[in-house]
Amino acid sequence: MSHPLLEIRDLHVAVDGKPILKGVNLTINRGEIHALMGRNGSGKSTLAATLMGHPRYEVTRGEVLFEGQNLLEMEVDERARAGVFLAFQYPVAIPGVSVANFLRSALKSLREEEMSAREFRNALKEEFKALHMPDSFASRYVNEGFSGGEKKRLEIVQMGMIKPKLAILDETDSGLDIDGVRIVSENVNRIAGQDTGVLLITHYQRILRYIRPHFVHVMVGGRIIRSGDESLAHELEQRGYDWLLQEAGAEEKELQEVG
Amino acid sequence: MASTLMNPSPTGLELIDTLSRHLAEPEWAGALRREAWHRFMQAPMPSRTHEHWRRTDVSHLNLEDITPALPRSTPALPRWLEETIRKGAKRIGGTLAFVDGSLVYSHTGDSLRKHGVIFTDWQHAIQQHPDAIRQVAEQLDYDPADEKFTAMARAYATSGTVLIVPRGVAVTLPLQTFFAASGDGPVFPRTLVVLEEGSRVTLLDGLLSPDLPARAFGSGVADLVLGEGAELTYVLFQQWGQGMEYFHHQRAVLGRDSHLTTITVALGASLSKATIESVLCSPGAVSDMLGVVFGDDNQHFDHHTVQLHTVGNTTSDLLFKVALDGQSYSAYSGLIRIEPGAQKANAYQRNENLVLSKQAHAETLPNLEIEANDVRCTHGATVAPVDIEQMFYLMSRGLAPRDASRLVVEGFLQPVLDRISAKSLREMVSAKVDAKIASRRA
Ligand SMILES: Nc1ncnc2c1ncn2[C@@H]1O[C@H](COP(=O)(O)OP(=O)(O)OP(=O)(O)O)[C@@H](O)[C@H]1O
Ligand SMILES: [Mg+2]
Repeated sequence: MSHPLLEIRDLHVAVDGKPILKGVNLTINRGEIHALMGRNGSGKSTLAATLMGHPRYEVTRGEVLFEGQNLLEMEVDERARAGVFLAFQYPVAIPGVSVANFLRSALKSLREEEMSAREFRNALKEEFKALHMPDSFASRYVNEGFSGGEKKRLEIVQMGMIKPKLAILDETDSGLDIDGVRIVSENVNRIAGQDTGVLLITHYQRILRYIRPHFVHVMVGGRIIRSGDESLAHELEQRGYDWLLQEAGAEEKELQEVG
Repeated sequence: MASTLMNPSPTGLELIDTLSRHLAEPEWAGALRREAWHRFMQAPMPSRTHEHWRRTDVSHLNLEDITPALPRSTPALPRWLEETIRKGAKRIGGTLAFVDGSLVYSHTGDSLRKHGVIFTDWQHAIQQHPDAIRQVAEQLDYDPADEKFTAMARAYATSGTVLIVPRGVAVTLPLQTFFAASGDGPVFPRTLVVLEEGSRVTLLDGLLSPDLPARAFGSGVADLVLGEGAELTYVLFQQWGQGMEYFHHQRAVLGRDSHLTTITVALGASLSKATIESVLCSPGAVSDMLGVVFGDDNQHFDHHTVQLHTVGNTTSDLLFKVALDGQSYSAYSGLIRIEPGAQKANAYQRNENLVLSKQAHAETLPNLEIEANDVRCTHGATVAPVDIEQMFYLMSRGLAPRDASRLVVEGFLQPVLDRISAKSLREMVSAKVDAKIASRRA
């Protein structure tokens, strides 16, 4: 029971033989909110997809423990059943499959005891209401023809239905309008409550005003090069990434010279 | 087996006359049967050197050895078929059921009779409405490529469905007919639908059997005739059991401003080959052709569609969706033919194949013959495995791979099933498709 929720140790990941993550270390405890920031292409989504088990991402070194269990040995659906949830940066359309049908099947796989059809409908209705979406979305095909913001809201509707132990939110704020960011944030806070661990990937400080992180990490070139508290996000917004890179570059140089 | 059996023998023609006598057919019907039989005997057995037969090998079939049984005098409604009817679609205007070519069940609402709608089996129809049937039956064509099988079906069919909707009558509740096989001898389903001017109806034509212990054979024809302004939704629902080898030719002739929606649902049979043809021979005619195929195990499907525009100002649209699992195989070939002078014809064709297993195989072969210059015509085809991003997304929500792919397949086929506008039929057919997807062995 004393295991952290998530422990990532020296994680190296390659795509099509090309190394992307080059030694990520990160520990997330229950109830902690970690923001992950970094330039485009630095490897944030790669980390998210790897944690969820996307078959294209090949772990070449390191380990990931989820509640002390080897996460990397589990299939994607087993990870979901263990309590890992990923809100996609680019949610996928499933033509011909209604949101209700999809979520009903998902909950059947995730839960021991089955929800009655009525319970399910009511719960789904509540989540749509909370995300300010009309519940007619229940009968629409999953993400098909959804606007960018609607897709992001549906991810959080799903999070609300599933109630994961670890929620990885990959740029859930991008594509949302100003109210959308607030609404989504409030709901993430509500669903996460006291126990859920959150890994929040973002480029902007705006969402961090609502979902206040305990830790902020900066990823550069497939590694977390700096961790701090909320003020780091603030600093990044003011100063950009260059200063960090220069400092990191200097450190690297030093290391090389020493080594 | 002696090769002399292969030759046309007097026993054959005698059998035809025995059938006619047994069914107490009028002279003209007997003559049509004899004509069909002569065509059957004269038509060459198709071989794979013939383009139309390139993808389905029938060399193991000895058609001349396959003969129909005389209709039984006291046919019984088998339990499974009774269940199908009882548990099937609610809110149905009429149901017919046949077993091995004999009518075993018939239920039609009063309103059909009141409006003069003929919805009955071939034999009754021929006795009670000879003129109406004769007028159409004597004009039915034989497609040369399928002639061997079509002629065989017309020569040997002992019964089948006849639906005639009189001028201006809109039948509100859908009708259904089930043609079942017991596996005890070949089946020759035959359906004739005639919509007079301005009439409207939905018919589900079901071909069903349990899994059969041995190989069985069937050959069927469906003829759909749409008068001016008529609207027909015709669902061909094929769920023969394992063991069945089935050949089918459906031909629709569309009158002025008529609208046909034909939905072919193919789930069953070990081997099936079907031609689905729409002839747009009057201005304003619209043909929507849709298809759903789901194959698994070693099933072999061969579908050929024909959108034939003989005159201009006609529109045909086609969407044929095929999902394959196990070691199943599907060939889809689609011909759009626009004849000289058929200006302002619109023809669209789209075939999508979703291949679920490495051993399954789908082929798609569009074929355009456009002989007019002022036409709009598009076609497209895809053959693809299940998208790994879709699988990843679904599995990330806890769905096991099997359940995830089941959802993807259901979703893939759903847009076609959504086109069955009669809710009761749509739900019944969707449930059967979903049940088959859920039961696949892979
Ligand atoms: N499937 C893939 N095929 C090829 N390259 C990939 C693949 N996935 C990731 N990459 C590459 O890995 C690098 C990291 O990509 P990733 O999506 O993880 O970045 P990110 O930090 O999430 O960026 P952004 O902020 O733009 O979302 C990029 O250079 C990207 O092109
Ligand atoms: Mg990203």
